[in-house]
Amino acid sequence: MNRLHIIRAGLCSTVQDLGRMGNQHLGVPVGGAMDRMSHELANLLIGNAASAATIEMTLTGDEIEFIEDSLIAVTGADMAPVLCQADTEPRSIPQHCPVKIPSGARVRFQAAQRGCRSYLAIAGGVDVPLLMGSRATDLRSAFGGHHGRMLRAGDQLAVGALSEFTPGIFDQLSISGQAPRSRWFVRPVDLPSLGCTSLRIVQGTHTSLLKLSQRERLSEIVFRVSAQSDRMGYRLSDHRLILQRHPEIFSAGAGPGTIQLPPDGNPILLMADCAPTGGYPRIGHVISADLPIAAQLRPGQLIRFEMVPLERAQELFLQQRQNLAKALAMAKLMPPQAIT
Amino acid sequence: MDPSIEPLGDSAALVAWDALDSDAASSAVQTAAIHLDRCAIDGIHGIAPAFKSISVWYDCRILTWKEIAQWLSDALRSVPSFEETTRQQVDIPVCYDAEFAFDLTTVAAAHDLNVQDVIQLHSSAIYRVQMIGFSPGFPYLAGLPRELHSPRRDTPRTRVPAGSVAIGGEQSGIYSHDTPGGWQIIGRTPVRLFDPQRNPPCLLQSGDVVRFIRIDRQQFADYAELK
Repeated sequence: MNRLHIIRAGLCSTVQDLGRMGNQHLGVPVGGAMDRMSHELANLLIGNAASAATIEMTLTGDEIEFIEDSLIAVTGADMAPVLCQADTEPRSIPQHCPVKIPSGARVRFQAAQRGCRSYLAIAGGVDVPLLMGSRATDLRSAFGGHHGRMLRAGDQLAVGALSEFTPGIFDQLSISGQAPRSRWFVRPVDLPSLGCTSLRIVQGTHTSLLKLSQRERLSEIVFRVSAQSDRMGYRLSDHRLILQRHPEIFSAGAGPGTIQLPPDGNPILLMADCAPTGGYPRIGHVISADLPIAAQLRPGQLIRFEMVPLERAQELFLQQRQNLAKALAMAKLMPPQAIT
Repeated sequence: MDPSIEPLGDSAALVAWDALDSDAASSAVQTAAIHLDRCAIDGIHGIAPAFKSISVWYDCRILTWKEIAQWLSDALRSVPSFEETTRQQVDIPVCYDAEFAFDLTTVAAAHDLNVQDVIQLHSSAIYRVQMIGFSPGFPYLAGLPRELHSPRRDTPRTRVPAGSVAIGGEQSGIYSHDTPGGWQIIGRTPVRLFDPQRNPPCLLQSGDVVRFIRIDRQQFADYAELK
């Protein structure tokens, strides 16, 4: 069986998949990849199921040794991965396409030049035990993934069985010994720009309680993603939001995208590992289609919120899924070819 | 009383009984959650009861908001009027030794009680799990005797050990993981509330009836060793 060997670990590298949806009644976070689009894409490019486990790297990447010939895809943030082999000059690895890695080679990821989270999928998927239907790492409760924790140097990860679709892709990339990659790439969602990123939101239960002047000009208020941001959520700074009155709140459902307003007025944008309930006013929810781009925001970046109707939010999500399917269908029409 | 039904973002609905008092809302939530769970349709992938509300997670590729709202409104009209007693009764051993009960003397002093009174009151009440939340397997328990209602600590602890039995406001609870926490800690259970390798992973679920059984330090050690 193929294995991955972590030579050097990034800042926060974890095994992730599509998470544990449906366990909210047990207090278990949905979890899974922060940028689900990039996670799914990485898998689909190499013939894995969308639910196969990938490695999510945050801000800085890992250096990983591949024990056997492997087919990989790297998506999301640009960590300028480099292929290192004995007796060969290091070569940069393209993203958003299938890439063949020879046995014994290492891939070295660096600091993210754009975006925050990069995904490494390997054909067969990272094979850690399924817990409550998922291989995702829950860091707060320390279970799932690789021993419920971040990856560190010296870790060995097993790789699962290849799907029926992988060998075809793999063989075509093996034709030439030169830089084995496909000649196309797929990138259905862009990374956040260096300026202010607009996240679309739908109304929350307590949006109407925002101070009128703030509610009417919400889209003009620019927040900063503070340094206190992780997989559970982003604390936003630079502007405090004020409620006209403080409603009596009973802990109720919350999920990735929910924007909570604690008494200090600095909103918290909940992300993948958030608790499934929250006791603060809910002033809005980032729409599902914009969660992937939100996952790519780095601490210090600026965001603003733009209100859209619920029907529009759901349309945008459907469109995004269709775009991914279309892009992958087109990729299949262009057989991967080795180029020099 | 009919609950309100509103969107909770673009992939969930919130059914709320805000106008009811805590006990009435809690009982409406439990009964409705069991019913919704039983008749859930394709596209619904999570039903989570909370204090006065239920969140229903759905896939908008399968159900539109209008469809889920209509289904909820119909389904909630056919909730049986009597409560079905399918929930389990669970006894949870607790050691109230000073070693584990960081705030027991503070709670006792605040209510002009002695420590034995607090233990007696806490371990003789019958509790009901209102909600599992905060962290996997953490039960919010209703039924704390009025004499023990206590405010949360001004400054939360950065780490409360798993198993800590606590009081927060009008409720009791049990920390299921080592997490930060602001409740008053009055004891510890050797029982594991959450184990993802167990089926079911949570010892308790919403609606369960709970009693605390006092154990001494030796029993705690024996129990922990057994585990």
